Amino acid sequence: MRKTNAYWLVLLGLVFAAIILPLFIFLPSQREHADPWTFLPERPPHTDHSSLMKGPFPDGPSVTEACLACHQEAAHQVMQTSHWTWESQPVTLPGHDEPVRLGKKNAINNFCIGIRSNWPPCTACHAGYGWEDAQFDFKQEKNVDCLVCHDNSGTYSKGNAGFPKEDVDLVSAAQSVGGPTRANCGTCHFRGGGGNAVKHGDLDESLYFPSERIDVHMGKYKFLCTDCHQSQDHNMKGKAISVSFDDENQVACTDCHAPNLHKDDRINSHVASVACQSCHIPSSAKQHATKTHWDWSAAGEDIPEDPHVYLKKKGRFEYQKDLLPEYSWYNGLADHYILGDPINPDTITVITSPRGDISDPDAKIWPFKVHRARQIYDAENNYLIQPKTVGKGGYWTDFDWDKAARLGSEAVGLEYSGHYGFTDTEMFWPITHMVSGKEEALQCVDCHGESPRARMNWEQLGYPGDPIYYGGRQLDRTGKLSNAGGGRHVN
Amino acid sequence: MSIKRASIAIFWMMLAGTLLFAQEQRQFHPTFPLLDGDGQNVLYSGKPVSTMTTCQTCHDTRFIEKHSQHSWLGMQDLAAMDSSAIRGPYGRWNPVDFRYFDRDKLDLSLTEWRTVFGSKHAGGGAAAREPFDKAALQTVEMNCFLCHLPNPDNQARLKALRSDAPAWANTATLAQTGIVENKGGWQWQRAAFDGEGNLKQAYSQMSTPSDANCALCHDHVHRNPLEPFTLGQPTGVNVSKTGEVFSSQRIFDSGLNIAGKDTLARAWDVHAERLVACVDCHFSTNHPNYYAESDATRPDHLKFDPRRMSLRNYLEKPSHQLAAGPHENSSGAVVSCQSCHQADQSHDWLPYKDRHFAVMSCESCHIPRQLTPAIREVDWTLITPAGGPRVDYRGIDGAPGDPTKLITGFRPVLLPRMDEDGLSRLRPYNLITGWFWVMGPDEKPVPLAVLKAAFLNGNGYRRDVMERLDQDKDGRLEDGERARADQETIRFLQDLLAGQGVENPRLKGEVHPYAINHGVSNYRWVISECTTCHSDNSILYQPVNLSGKGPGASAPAFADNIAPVVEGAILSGQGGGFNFKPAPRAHGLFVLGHDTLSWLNIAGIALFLMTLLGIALHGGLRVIASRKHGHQEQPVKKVYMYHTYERFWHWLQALAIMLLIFTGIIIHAPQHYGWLDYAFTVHMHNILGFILLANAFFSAFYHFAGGEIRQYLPEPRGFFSQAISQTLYYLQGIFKDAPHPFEKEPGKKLNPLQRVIYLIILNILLPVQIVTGVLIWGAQTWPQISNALGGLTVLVPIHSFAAWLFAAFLIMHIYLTTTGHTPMANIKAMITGWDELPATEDHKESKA
Repeated sequence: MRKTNAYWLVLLGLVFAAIILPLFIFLPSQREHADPWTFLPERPPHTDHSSLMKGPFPDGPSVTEACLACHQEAAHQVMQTSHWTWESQPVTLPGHDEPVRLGKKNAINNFCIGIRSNWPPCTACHAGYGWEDAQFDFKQEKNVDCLVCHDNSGTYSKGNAGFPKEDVDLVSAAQSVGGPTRANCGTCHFRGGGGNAVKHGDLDESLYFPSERIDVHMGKYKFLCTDCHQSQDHNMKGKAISVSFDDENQVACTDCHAPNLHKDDRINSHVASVACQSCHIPSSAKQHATKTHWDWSAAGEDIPEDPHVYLKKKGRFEYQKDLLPEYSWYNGLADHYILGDPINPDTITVITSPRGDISDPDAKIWPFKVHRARQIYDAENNYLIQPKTVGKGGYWTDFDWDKAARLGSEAVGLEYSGHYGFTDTEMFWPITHMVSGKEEALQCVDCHGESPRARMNWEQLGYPGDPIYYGGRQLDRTGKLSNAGGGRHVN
Repeated sequence: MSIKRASIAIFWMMLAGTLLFAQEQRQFHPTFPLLDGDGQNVLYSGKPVSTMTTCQTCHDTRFIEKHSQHSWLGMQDLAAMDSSAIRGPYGRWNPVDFRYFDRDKLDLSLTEWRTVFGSKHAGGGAAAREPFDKAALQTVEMNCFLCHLPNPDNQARLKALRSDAPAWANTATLAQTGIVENKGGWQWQRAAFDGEGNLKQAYSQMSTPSDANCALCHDHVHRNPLEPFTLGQPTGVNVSKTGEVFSSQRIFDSGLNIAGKDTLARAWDVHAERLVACVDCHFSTNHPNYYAESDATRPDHLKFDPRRMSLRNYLEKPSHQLAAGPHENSSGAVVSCQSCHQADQSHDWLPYKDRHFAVMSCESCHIPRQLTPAIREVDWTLITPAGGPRVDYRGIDGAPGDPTKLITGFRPVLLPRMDEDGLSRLRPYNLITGWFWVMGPDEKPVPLAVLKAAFLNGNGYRRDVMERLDQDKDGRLEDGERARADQETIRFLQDLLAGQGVENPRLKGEVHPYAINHGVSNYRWVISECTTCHSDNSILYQPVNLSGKGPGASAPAFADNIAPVVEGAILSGQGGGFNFKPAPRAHGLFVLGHDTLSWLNIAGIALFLMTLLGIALHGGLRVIASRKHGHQEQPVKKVYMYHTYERFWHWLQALAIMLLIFTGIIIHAPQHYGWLDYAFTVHMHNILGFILLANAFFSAFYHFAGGEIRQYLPEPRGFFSQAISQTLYYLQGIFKDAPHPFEKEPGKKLNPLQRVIYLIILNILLPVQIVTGVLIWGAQTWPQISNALGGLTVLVPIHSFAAWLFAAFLIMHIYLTTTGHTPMANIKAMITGWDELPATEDHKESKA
């Protein structure tokens, strides 16, 4: 009897199979993409540390020591990351005999130019305590600043050389610790260049509580920075070409989103040559104007000051809100001016520039904020100078360029001829934050045709003309450019 | 390496620089002299420029003028003029523009024509044509500059047209170029000409018309996407007739006060947004890029004839007949969505794709809603003091130019229209109702001049008109006062007209459909929810308001000779208004989910409910009877009754039919099942239907091959008496716990009643259901077969009636399975195959 029972079950199974199988085969399938939410990290509730961090804590390092009592690996991990080292792994560069390490530690830019000999105010953003000069000990675990990233009280802040400011209540800050919030990241990254919105254009204090129109991830979906900049052993994903050469451990839209998810094939055909950011970030600096030009040569005048127009210490500025990006090919790698590299003072020196061109299959058209400046260089040796600006003998104290150049050059170990001048420089800053919702993504007319909205310079990008008429670039199987828009395919 | 790279870079930069420089300098149109009508250089004659003479140097302007509907506007049909048959502004009268041009009776003098219609016309129109007295009037030539100059000055042109020197209108079009200046008179500027009297290069740039050129007259084209789109005062003709806007601007960036605007992220028109310019669809019909031989004349062995007109020949004789939709012009070259799009490649999600494409135009779904107001009603009963009508709009409560009024938009009405391929498809229209006075036996509209003479004096309404209609005595007639609909007022106005010698003046209401083709959206914004049409509140049946407070006591009627087929009724609405209720079913369209309540369907439901009632009564009585008599346990024996395949077939059929009924009910009345996706359900229903068909096919084979079919055939001998005794058992014996009159055995499973019922179910009902189902499904693939059998309007009601019969059978069948020796015995037997039968003497052996 038991056998019969099993038998009718099989029969019933067959009946269901006869219904379900055809349904499964013939129902029209829809193009399904993995749900992007599945790629987001979990946010486990953080342990309440208020009973664990009793204090008293006389200074920052004593908090760190308390942390390390349980999180023994933490400081060691942080010390491997660029938040601590402020430099990269050594990279072999053409024109340099020795491998080069690049990072905030030694990079030159066209904002405040460089940190060497100017440490205390710059290193206020170092995830450590006490970097006051070249002698800072990068091996001291207790000098790692846990609170700058993990304080959740919102009361912690750092002053010169990264020491906590006088009025910070270290006990309550230590008791509040949790995962990094927007405030933890923003305190340094939104204020790059010495103030809100100065440097990046796509990172500023509007991102603390952005509207959907400013950033769809953070505004509509309440993302934290760490939802995309996920970390492994305190090593955060993400980097920018102002201080690095490569795109290892980089964050990408496609970490969560399928690259060809557009319903429209015409749009999907763009993704081989156009970065997501190019269409989905129509403009940066959406709420706060960002600096676009800095003329150091105008500094030193006793004329009325306005932090967005002129400061005696720094010179003349231009700021722009709702900044339209400039577009360039970018394959994830970058060139960077290294102190001592020769320049031609009569042309523009590009300090950071994206690598890639129309014939590079890995390159895509990316949006950039280009920061242009006029900055000091050695008029005989023909290289850029990293002047001393801060402190005794610095330009901001004595307003003497010659002295600032001499002291700065000593600090970086470059010869100074005694003659200086000012030359034009450019830095490319990739735009990748402030992603708009799809409703505000660029439309065809924003790049193509003769519309007054068209914003691409196709000839500059290497096309013979607008690819909507001339055809796009075609790469053959070996990745070689077989047609840079020279014509269209004919059947 | 760096030197090599640098030198390459420098080379490219130089090349790019040269190209850029060259591009700015490169100008294609050669220089030319501007000639007057006598062929003299205007620089020396000082006369207005003649485009016909000037451009004639290289382009055949006579050819161009002759092949240009912008120049003729339907005038070529004037010779055979029958005021109702001619397309275009000349012959075809419409209640919005009202003025008409008639060989016998000019409602409009030629000068008036120039000032009224000349603004929207690239040439002289009637004033430049026979049979009108050309010499007596100052004519205006075809204006090449208006369409081909990058920066034409339309305002200066209009000013000149309305002046007493319209011959300068084409010259005035050049006002922004620096070639000519108006200093109390038009003066040619020497600086624009070279030593030989030719225009200098920079001044001689003519090009393909851009959207901005078209926008000068076709004001639904929005020229500058950086400027927020607004409705000007007065609103443009095209915008107010159809609510169409052609712009790449996103709606939420426009300057209009639209309800829910901040969610409207789509562009006004997806083609504009994707850089499809006006002339990309409305191209010159002999342009070598676009010219395509029609399928009718192209030999079958060719898919493309590569022989093209040379560019030289094209430039000499470019046809200015521009391609357009079939009913929008008389140029002959037809463009439609399908000219470019392969819709069947992108609509796989859509059930009955081909059927939809056969009865719906693309526009029906892709122009779901107009978001600018359009005219609903034009009432000329009592003209305004300025000589205009009272105009009401749909999509806004108030005047369109008033920014304080909220625009709600409107859904176009869908009417069928015959397409080029001979299929009639639903298309979106705006319906405009005109109320106007007609006269005489042929119902000719009373000319505006007569209306003015009858109702107005020099500076306003006649005194008796005011006395009669100015109810609030404020010295003005508001819209409400002018729209009086009472018979006395009408008679009063009639008398005034009769006083002007108008023969038998009477009011007429006419509905004119205006096709909507622009303002297209793509997938995200279109109608893609099946229940928009397939439900009891289908938009295909939604009434559309024609007239809010019309003057007519009698209903308006659709105008004659209109493109769409009108199926539906004009009904009186609230407060003296009228609504049009479309009835696509009368046009042979059967809308699943809406067109359901036929008498056949009601009969089916009634039958089902009666069966349900019968079961309930019978079942109740059985319960009562069994309590009274008790149930005698009988010895039973096990018999292997149903083979494996038999059971498989039965249960597959049972499950498929139940699912088919379930999905069928959802398709039938989707409004009650909003939680289920309609398209998914339809797909599922189709697949289940084919499972049922396959199952029926295999089982037929089984029954025939194995001889099992005999079980279903009623025994010829004694069938009636057997059937009666079985019936009596159900009516009497069953209540007394009497034994079944016929014993069930593997070779004789069915009782006589079952035999006849199953025979009907399996040989009539099931085939009917399968055949109608397949034909409904096949209406897209073999429409001719379905149509030969009456089309969907016949097939679908039969299918749903039969479905009710199936449902009735199903519950009856399930109920009767409980009449075995225990209620579950029969079901168990059909599952396991082993039946338990009463152990009578004969079967003792098998029990053992």
